[in-house]
Amino acid sequence: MSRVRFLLAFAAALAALWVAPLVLPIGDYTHNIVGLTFMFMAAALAWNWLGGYVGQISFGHAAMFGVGGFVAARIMLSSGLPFSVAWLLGGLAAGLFGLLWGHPTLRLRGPYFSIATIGVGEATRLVATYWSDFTGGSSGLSLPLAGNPTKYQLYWYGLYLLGGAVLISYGLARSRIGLGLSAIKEDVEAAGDLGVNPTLYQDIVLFLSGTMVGVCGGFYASYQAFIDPQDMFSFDRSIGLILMAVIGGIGTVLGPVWGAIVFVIIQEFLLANYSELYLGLYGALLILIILFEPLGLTGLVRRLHRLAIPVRRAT
Amino acid sequence: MNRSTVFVGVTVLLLTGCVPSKDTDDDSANTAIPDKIVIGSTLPLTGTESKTGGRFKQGYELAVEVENADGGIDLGGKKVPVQLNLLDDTTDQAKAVNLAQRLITQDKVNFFLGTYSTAVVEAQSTVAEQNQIPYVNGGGAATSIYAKGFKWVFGTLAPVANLANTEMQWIDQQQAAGALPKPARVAIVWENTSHGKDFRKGVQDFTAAHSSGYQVVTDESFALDGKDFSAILSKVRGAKADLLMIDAHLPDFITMQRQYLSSAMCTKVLTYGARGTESDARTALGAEGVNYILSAVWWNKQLGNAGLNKEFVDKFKAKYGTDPEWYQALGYEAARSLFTAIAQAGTVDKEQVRAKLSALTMDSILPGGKLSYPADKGGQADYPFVVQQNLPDGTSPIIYPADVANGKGVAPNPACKG
Repeated sequence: MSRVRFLLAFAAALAALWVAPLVLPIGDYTHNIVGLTFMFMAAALAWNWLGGYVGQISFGHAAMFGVGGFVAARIMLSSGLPFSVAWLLGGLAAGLFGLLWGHPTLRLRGPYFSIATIGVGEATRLVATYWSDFTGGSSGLSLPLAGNPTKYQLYWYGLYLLGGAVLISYGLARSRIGLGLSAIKEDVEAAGDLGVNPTLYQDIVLFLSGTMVGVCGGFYASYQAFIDPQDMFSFDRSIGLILMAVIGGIGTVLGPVWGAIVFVIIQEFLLANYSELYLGLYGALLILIILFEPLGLTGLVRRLHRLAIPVRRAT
Repeated sequence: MNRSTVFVGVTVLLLTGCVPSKDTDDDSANTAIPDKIVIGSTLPLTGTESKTGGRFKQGYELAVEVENADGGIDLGGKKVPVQLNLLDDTTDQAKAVNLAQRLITQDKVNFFLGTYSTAVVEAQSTVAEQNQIPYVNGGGAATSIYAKGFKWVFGTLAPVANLANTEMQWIDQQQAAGALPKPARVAIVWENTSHGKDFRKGVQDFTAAHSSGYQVVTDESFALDGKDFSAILSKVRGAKADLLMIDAHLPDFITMQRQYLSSAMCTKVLTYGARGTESDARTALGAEGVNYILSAVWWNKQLGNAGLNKEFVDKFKAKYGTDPEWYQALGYEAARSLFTAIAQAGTVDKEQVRAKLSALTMDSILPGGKLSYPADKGGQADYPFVVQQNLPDGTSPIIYPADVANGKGVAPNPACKG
């Protein structure tokens, strides 16, 4: 898709989603869940910048999500700054925290890097659990209901987060940095020989990814109005981000967006309507997608597109 | 990125200042008599707290069945049946919040019965407060839940600090009788949650008030859902504690007690707070593995063989074929108190039912015989605990307070050598 077509489609989708709750009879529950899903889409896209574009599969992104959430919550509780500023500062703290562990560990490749990120995620969770003065320990932190955006308003903030994440995804993929990341993904040493600085490029991407995931953590803190380390830093959260990217299409610009829809909305639907069967149904759905479509939903859409519109052959 | 990308990005940023808002839906003033009263609820039916969640479900469902047996709740002379809309929150805070949101805003339930375990109740109760719907829970004991100034949240579990204090009162009696050393060396081991902090405070307050009788030699916390407690137990062993005062949820209790037994530890008094009498613990640890464990609970079936208690136990046994534990009793009482408040209000109007819950004083199966949600406690019930001890004959009699005791406790633990 050309740049102009992409940007037009993006602007149209953003405008449609912006207006939709005001003109369509969407219930409060659906409205809120969609808002939360926007946030997860943004977080999954951010994970994809590192996991998909660079091929460095991180099992530790919950650490940045948690750091962003707790820093934002502490700022909201103690400083009186607007929540949006708190989210941003939480995101920056998470990005810097990502650099702190990422700069040395990104020299590792493949499974070695992934194992290191598991250690980072679990260590951060334990430190946060015992750092009661900052995180409240297992008791967590409660945010005041007053001064926080309502769940109704968070729909639009979630949409803005998603919009920002899509633009960065698209920009990264098409930029010089994106080409460098592709080169690093294919062969890090060859990329270095061609003048790409793998350390710098990976640091930049991890910082961007950590910052965006951290901002999402701040959003989540406002949405829940109560956070605790077991939830924010849980290994399941990191796995969730990976699954969203895998389901939607790892390494693609928009794949994680479709993956988040399956991961959050279908899960919520199954849980609410088939609570005794949801784990089985959900597991079967994931197995089917991963087994039959390695490029996830993006691959499926591409296949259907090819079937519907056969490639015109030069005559 | 080229200029058009930057342009769209700047547009998005500008838009961020523009977010529609909405007036709160005011559907609380609903005085019409409905065909049925729908109670929303979530419980952890899968996940780490699934066993306990299943027990609360039994309590909720029994209360609904009993209420519907004679037609339902009396609203202005008309009997209206109760329907329970119960979903599985999988012991997950986010799911508990989202499902509560769904039940309240989409399914339009009239009232809400809360979930189990402090952290999940703490997260979910904010939804009830935001949506201004009466929320009664039997699964959140930590005082932090009720210290936020929430008006719509009510808790049936008395504070955990009371639990620790009641256990210490029994221990103090044994010490006065010469059965335990003076001063006794106390190890406090608490889960790092609001629940655990309340327990620790209860022990600390008591030992501080009786400083000549007790010396705290270990004060350690652990994270919920732990797998290895050997380091903490080693510290307790090294400190030569006489009294090991632990607060833990059921999964951690079973894991920790297994490690306590396998390391051949033996303290003169051992408690895990409210845990110890559960059938799951006997199954997992064996009958000998739970001998002489002291516990203080919010309810016990031995509290009385008459009146409301007998009625509850008989109905429970008839429905489920087994004896109820405190979990089911607390679920049952949480639901019953909500039904009582609805009947007193004579309407499903949320504000009127909330006011009735605030002013409620009803006969109860709980210790003390009365249940209320005092405003000065933030809506948390406040009543005495009963102390039990597991004995080698497989019984767990109530040993304290004396007015309800039906057995005699043993201290020090006779299994300890030397």
